[in-house]
Amino acid sequence: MHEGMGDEALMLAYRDGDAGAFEALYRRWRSRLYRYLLRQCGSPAQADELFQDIWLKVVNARRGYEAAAKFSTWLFRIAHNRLVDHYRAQGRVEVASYDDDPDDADVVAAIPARAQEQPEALLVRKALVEELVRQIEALPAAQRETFLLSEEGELTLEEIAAATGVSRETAKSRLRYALNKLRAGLRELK
Amino acid sequence: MTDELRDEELSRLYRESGGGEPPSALDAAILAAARAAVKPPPRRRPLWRAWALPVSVAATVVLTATLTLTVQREQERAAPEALPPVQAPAAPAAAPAQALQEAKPTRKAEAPALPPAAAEPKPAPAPAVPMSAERPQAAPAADAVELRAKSVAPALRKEAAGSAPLARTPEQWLEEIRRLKNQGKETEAAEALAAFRKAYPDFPLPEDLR
Repeated sequence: MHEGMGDEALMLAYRDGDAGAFEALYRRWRSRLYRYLLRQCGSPAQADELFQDIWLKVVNARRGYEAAAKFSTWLFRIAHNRLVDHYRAQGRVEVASYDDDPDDADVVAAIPARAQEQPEALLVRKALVEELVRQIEALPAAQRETFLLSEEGELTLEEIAAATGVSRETAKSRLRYALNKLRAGLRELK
Repeated sequence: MTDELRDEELSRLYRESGGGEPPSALDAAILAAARAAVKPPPRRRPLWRAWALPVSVAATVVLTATLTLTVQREQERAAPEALPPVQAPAAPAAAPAQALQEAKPTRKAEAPALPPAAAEPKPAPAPAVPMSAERPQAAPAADAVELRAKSVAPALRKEAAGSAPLARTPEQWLEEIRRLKNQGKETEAAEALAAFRKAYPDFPLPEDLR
């Protein structure tokens, strides 16, 4: 019944009292949001708490929902705000890292993307995946979040900017910088 | 990933990392909360219905109490009014005691004559009969009353002669005694004079009747 419906239509249906629409929406986004949180805070217990809070905020904010923006942008904006609150409550330095944006990300161009997989080296690939996760966790919070919003949320630069409350150029700079670091880290492994 | 900075290789590598999944208990809790939020609330009884019973009980109590008090007050008010008719005759009886004693036989004499006259008209009107038919019956009834009154009148007058104190003034009574004496009815005149003296012991008698 809800399979062919877009995210926004599902959220509007839920706003109008269709609990099944929320379930479809939740199934669609639960894993991505959870991974976004887990990679950001590193602790499953904290990720669980934040995850529940964010979905309850979605439930409680349903009456004010308008399909002006993509649902995923709206969802990850709620997640971003909750995460920033969490960092502030924890007194963590990640909050400061949101202001620490590099102006120049031209180094990304100097790091070549991998053109193709190395089928013969499965073990090496597994090690690469593990290293990538470590590199993501090691990124400054703002860059990590931008990368995760791009990967997990499949958001465009404009949507990332809207979700995190920054300009498109800042979002672009953060993403470019994150990719630069990740490629550099993987290249070292290879 | 965004088109401008797309790195398919990095994205593919990242997707292979998999990552965590939320616990199923968390899924259940969130879905339950979402369902509860849009579930129509159970119908609450309207406020007026919730208060209907206490208000009706209170109204009944107030009404009962008011009625009880009203009835009690009415009974208390009616009691003193009901008593006087029983006691009232005692007071006036004391004042003209003497005159009443004289009047007693007269009233006794009148009593048997009046009741038939008063009782007669009662059966005359017939409730079920139409108005046009009532009139001819009512007229004879009125005539009967009048006739009876006429027949009673001389008797009353005769009685009144015997009970002078109530029917005449002392002067009229004395004039009558004088007339009896002039007619030669000495015995009757003497009896009347004795009765007069008894009724008016302080009234000065004229010279001719002493």
